Amino acid sequence: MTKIGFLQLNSCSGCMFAVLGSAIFPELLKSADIQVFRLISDIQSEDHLDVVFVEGGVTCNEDAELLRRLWTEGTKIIALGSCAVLGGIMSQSPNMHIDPVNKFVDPHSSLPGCPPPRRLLGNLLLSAIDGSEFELPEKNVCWECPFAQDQTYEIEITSLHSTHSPKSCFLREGILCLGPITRAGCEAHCIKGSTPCDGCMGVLNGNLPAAIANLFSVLKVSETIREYAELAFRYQKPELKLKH
Amino acid sequence: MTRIEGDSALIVTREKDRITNVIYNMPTARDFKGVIIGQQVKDLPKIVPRICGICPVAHRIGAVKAIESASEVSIPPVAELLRELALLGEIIRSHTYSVFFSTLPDIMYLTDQISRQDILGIDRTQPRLLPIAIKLYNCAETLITATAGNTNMAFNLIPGGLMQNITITQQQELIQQLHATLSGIKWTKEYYGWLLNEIEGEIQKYTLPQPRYISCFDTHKNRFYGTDQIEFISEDGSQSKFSCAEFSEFLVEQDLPEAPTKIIYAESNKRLNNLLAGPHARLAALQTKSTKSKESLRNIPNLFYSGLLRIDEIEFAITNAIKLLETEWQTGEDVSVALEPQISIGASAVEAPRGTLLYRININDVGRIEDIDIRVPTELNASAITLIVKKVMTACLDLGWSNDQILERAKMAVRCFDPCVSCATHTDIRFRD
Ligand code: SF4
Ligand code: SF4
Ligand code: SF4
Repeated sequence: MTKIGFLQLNSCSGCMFAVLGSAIFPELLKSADIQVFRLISDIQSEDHLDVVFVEGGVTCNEDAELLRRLWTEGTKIIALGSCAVLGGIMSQSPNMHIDPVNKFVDPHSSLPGCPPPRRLLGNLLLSAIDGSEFELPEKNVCWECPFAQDQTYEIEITSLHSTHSPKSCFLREGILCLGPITRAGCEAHCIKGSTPCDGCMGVLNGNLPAAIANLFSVLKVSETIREYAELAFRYQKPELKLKH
Repeated sequence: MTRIEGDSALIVTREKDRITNVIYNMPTARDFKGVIIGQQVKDLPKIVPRICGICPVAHRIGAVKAIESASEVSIPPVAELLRELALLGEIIRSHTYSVFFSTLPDIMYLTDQISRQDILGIDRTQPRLLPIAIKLYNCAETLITATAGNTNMAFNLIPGGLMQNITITQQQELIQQLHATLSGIKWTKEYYGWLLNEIEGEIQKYTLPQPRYISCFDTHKNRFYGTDQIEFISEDGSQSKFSCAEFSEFLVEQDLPEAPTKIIYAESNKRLNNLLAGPHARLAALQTKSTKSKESLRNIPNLFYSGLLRIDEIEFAITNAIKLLETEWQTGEDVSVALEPQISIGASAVEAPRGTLLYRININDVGRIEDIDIRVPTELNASAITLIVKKVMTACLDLGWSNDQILERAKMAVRCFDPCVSCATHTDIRFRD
């Protein structure tokens, strides 16, 4: 049986609850040897794990050391969720420093998302049991979006928030949506829930500031929106270089 | 600590045959205040669900209600109803985790039912329980998704009301799915009650002396959505109330010297007191409404009964969700009112699964958050947690038990509170070297 661990660093536990709510979880309980999963069991052995799923960003030396030790021992490290992959929501704190897992070790695979999308999470958990390869889609959110066919870059963007169900692409309604630069995989989850994408899956190509600059160079973005940079950097610090 | 949401540890000082100090340490700091200050008001509801992975809906509702109170708007009744339904889903999900993954393994271990103290141990001995847990969890997530938009961000719940209503098809499917969970939870309740009877003697030491309950449960409408009035209820049933806008005067925060977090005590009683939020407090509020006799509150503050109360609340949430969907929900697209945040102060209270959750925000002249104060139930319960742990450990020490046995019982006592550490470490942080 594959020896699996689930580690929580600086996080909200949302990714781990997504694991508990995953359709494959009952199967995982029975067909993998779970050695650490503090949320559900007292058994805690971090030695000789085959695979470890890591939720949360790194904020202390102990966590960084633990990751390095696991990596040196040959444990496959899987970064789970935007905090582990990008730094996550806490990147915006002016008072504390948070790093993604890949600052310290080279993850075997990474699944961003706050929390990660259900279908991809199921595939990722399955890959831990049967050894299958896991890959992230190399497309943007618009590719999965029901409104992609009427997307336009011609309308002035004057708002960041929707207050109703969209009848067309948010960009056509003058609302900023980060779908064009964000990695697909969530099946345009927020858009289907009437909310523009704010980029939790991370940027698809290059680094985030460049992608934002590109998007803003083709969109007609009003001055007030341009000043509001927080939205674009909700899940990672601007200087971060992504390594997938 | 294991089987707790988030990162925490018990630090106990024992001097010979005395427990001299207990610290419930929550070492991880999460600077949400720093993240939030300066953000646009309308972004607040998008940020706060990330405080807690198990009660994001309560945080979202706390934020939108605070914004609405600052803007002095009232939302359409159907919006409040769908918010309540989303909260009921969250109650079912959170309590299912707490009962099946956290406290049942302890109580089954105490009754010699299992040797491996977790859901896998349970599954080997009583295979009926895991499928019940999964069915409840899935039903809760369907209810939250339908009403709040999704399970983790609740983006359907916006300042002013809702983005959209549910459809008749969704209503029918929800009713059906909720009905299908009832037999499982009723069976669990009987089983848990039987387990409790088996260990009646053992659990006496888990009784909290003279608790002071805190709740904003709406006892008129029976809603977790809450009222603006916070109630303190003493064991004899006497009550005092204050407005949620004044909470910083009545609930004073105190730094924990060993951790970057805080605990809360009631201003009228400056020593560390026995403030208790959550299912016990909500029951106290309901019982105080039905009869003011001291009799009706008897036996509530035993922490091992918390599990039973959570099972009761799951059943209540399921039956009440069915009732609301069948008799009060209405179709229609009139689900929100327009709202433009002005310079103002807003406050809110809501019953999260673990107890009263309080928000207070200051909005500046450019529509950004100037200041924010969030009080979460685990902070309210923190002093009671240390008090009960000390009491339990002292009782075990008097019985001559080993350190390992004593610590095991202490951990069980902590789990009875269902502490939400991710939530509790959100706050004003101080950094240690
Ligand atoms: S990625 Fe999102 S859901 Fe996961 S731990 Fe971070 S904040 Fe929580
Ligand atoms: S910009 Fe947003 S709404 Fe428009 S197609 Fe892309 S994801 Fe969909
Ligand atoms: S639409 Fe954007 S913000 Fe929403 S889940 Fe997908 S990537 Fe994340």
